[in-house]
Amino acid sequence: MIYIHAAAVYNPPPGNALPDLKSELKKITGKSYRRIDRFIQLALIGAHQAAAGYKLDPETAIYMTSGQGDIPVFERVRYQRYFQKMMSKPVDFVNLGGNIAGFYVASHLKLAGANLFLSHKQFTVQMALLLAQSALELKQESAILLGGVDEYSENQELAKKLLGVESSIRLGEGSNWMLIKAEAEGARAALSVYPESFNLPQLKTLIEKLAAESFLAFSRRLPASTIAGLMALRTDLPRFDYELSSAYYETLPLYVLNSFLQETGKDYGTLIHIDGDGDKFMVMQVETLVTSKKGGL
Amino acid sequence: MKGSRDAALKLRLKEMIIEECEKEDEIIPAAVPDNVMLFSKASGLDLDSLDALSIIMGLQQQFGIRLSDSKAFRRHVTTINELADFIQPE
Repeated sequence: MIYIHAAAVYNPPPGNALPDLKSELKKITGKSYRRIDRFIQLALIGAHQAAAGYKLDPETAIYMTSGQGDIPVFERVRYQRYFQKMMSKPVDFVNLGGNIAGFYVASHLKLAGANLFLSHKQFTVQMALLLAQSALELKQESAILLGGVDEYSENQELAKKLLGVESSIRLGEGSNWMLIKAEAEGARAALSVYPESFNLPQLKTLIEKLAAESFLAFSRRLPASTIAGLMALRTDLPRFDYELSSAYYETLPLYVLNSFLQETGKDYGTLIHIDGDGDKFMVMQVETLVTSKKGGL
Repeated sequence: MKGSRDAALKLRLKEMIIEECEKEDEIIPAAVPDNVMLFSKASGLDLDSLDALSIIMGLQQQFGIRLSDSKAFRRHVTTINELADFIQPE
């Protein structure tokens, strides 16, 4: 089990024009950044908000993950190079390389610890959290600033194809971060990621065993019929609805966990987050620590 | 009309440089002097070598001017007036 000490969401609401992140970043950080693309701007905004008001140890590690990376930059460079027959913009070329966003976050927050950019085809957030959990439990790290960043892509068709999501799903963008440690003292919530994936019968058994007062949240990757079937198992459990406030992006589970912490600031509880890909499911549980109501297993 | 006498062209060049080099927060186009070396401190732009590449891209995209090597860049991208004359000799 790991503990969430700080959390922040940056999740522009769906249906609106994309915000001007350059001015937003300047408003939030008070700094003007040049030569960074939208992906890096998102990373900086989310990480800055998670760390705001918190004195970070300079050795705090950065673990960043993304479901689709900076597809728009890749698209732009490809278009300039192969269709316009031009050189790519130097800044785009530089920003495409390696863990540039992590470099900017570390520079901004003056961190000198490990700095990883993690990518995984399935269960992006869960895999990053499992790695972080191992690093904390093995005392390889004492604190990790973990974030999920996804940038909106104009080329929705390509992005959906890469992500393997249904064509009806509306894609968005977000940057959601949490500061996690192995110590409970001063933490806002406890977080568990089940390391093994579940099949549907195993998942049903788990849901049947849940204590009352747990909230359930489901990934948008799950078909509506599967969600309805799982909810029917426990009609006493409330559903944590986040869908209206967000379009889909691969690191959305971090938004769900963090927004649950924000929304239940006074009405404490436990959230069970269920994600799925095909016939595999992964479960995360977040429990606010000053609880008047207990849920979970 | 020579480019150096074309106020609209010079304004477009200044806007292009500021946009390509992301200097919007630091200087407005009208404040960029016409007769000062762009890559000097006196220009107020504080440009570096990566900015030079960005200006090359901007000249190509917005003005159809292709500068093939660094010598051509150093010869023509000196001041706003000289750059304007290069783009519009008469």
